[in-house]
Amino acid sequence: MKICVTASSEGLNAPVDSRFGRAPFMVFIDSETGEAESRPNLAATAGHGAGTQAAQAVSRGGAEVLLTANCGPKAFELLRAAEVEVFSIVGGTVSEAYEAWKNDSLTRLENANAASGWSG
Amino acid sequence: MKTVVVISGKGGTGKTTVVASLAKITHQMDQRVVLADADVDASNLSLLLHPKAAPAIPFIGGEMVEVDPEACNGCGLCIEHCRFDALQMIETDDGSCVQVKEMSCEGCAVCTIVCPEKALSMHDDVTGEWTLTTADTGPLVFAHLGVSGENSGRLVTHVRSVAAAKAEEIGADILLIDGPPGTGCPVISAVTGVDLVLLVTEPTPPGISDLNRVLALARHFGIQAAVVINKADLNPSLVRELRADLVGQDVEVLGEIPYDEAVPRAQRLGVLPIDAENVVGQALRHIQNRLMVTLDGQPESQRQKTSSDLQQEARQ
Amino acid sequence: MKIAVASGKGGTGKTIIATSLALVWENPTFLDCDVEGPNAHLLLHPTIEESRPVTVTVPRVNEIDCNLCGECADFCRSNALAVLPRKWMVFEQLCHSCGGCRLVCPTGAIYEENRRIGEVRFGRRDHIPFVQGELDEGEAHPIPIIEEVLRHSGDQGDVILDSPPGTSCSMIEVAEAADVVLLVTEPTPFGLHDLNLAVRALKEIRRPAAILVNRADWGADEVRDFARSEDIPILLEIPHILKVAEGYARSRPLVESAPEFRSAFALLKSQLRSLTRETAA
Repeated sequence: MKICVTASSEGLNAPVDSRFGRAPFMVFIDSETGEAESRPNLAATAGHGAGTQAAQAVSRGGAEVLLTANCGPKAFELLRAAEVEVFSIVGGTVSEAYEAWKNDSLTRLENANAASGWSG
Repeated sequence: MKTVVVISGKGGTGKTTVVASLAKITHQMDQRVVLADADVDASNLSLLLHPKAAPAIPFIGGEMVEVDPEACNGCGLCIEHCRFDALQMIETDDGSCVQVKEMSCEGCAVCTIVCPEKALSMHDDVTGEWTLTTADTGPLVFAHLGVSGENSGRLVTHVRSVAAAKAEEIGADILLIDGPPGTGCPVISAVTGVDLVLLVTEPTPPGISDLNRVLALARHFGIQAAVVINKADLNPSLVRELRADLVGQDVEVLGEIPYDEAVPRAQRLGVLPIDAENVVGQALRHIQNRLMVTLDGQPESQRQKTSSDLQQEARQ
Repeated sequence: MKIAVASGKGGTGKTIIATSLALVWENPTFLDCDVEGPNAHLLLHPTIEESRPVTVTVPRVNEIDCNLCGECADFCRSNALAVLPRKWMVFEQLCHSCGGCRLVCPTGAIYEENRRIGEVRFGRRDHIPFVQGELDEGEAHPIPIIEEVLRHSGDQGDVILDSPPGTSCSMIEVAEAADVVLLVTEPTPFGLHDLNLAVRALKEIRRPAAILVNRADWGADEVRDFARSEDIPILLEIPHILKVAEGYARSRPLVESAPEFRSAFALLKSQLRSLTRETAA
């Protein structure tokens, strides 16, 4: 199973980035092997709709779990539809967040907790 | 940090004066405040707070179509497909050519894919500008949308994200947003994801009709709402009815502000009516206090609300 | 002729003025275009005879034909579509109904359906036909409702349009439909600031403007200077009258709370008429 963590740079020791859509990197960790693959978040510099684009990238990347801090309502709805579970993290590194998830000490997000990038 | 948006549906209820006064009172109590003016059509907060001059930064709010007159063969296929009536045929010396009506163009790009000559292309559209500055209450972000600028919601979202970043940077206690009128796209952008929607109303039938619309909006997005009744002595019986109705809806009334000539007088002088000697100032101080109590009573954040909800479920 | 009653700033008395103007006019049609907060009915008390939903189109997908290629989501400038490995999704409130997704779909899997965003109501106050639009709460796009209201201007006769406040696309939509725009302002820093924005907007779309100063006894000198420098006529100044404010709080229009202003409104009417004729000439 794959776990995706939003991060400020590449690798397991990268600091977690609290922003979901705008985090520069997504680190995908394979829970079977413990191997990490860092991918640049192409949505980070998107003019608009970064959250929903990033959510699609998480899902297309095959992750079933997302560890991030803030997630807007549309991205959350998408992740729910894609059957990606979202857990809330605050600070620390990617590997610390991953360990916390393995130890079952993270809270699952039941609702969006950030402002929407709504554009009428 | 808590985020509070102040809206009213109807204009002229005193929303901006309430926002600026609450910010000032909170600042005087040594709390850190960041202000965001999300009324990007008619940004007025800076008229009350006199912030330092700061540069306006252009905002790219979307895309606009551009025609290459050389390539256009005048077939009119784009006009047929445009659902916003944003293209028209004009006659030039070289024959017919399509022209964009910029006021109507929504930047959807449909014309660019139907054009057989690839004569239409999209380019970034500057729809407004925004400014980050400092007032004597602390950081202030405001913006101005150009005439008929598309996607006002995007500019509101941007103002909010600049303000939120600033609030995080200075470790603010509260982010106060002055919201736009109405219930449409900029309002939705201003209210989503906040901790509390503070509704400023007045006891007139239009005031209450619009209050009910914004209350429905807050409910639609599942956000806690609280009410301030301004000019409360204008119609005391309507205030009683309104209060009873709000109790039934489980919406807290933070306080009432009487109608007092001190308010327009202060506005004309460009100052805030928060003088503790005055009835309006006293009412605003009381409301600020109740607001802080209400926010303190909320769970720290949505995340912890979820965890406490889960714990409660587990106990049951 | 069509007169839009607008204001840069909300709460300056736009609806009070629009309804009073309607009550002194002979055979007008009244259109409440302030669809995010329609209030004119609270002062005019029309009998509503009919209401019709206003709909916009939104895309739907035929799942058998959709190969989840994602071209529609890539094309959509409103970010209203998302394509997941096993699912196609639409965020209806974000959709601008441009139809582009259907055009780019390589398998023809996308079709469109109507979705309600609000309604238009039709009624009458005595001899005055009354039309009102209202955007449903939670909906983002008011323009389709305003367009629907404006479609009922009638072929002849005069029309009074109660405009949305501000200088947003909604206000521009209504101003563009009008022959002249009456801007209601008040002599406060907010009022003057927002009046200036409204005047700039009307110049850009080349619509003739006139000004009405409400609560003029608060000191209208700056508004007068501004109007002179912009070469826009001030057609009427009304002082702050307590019985008008109290009447408003009890659903009474200005010319009913203060009948002595009927003649001033009749004069306003003829000034608006001649202003329209001048600009047409």
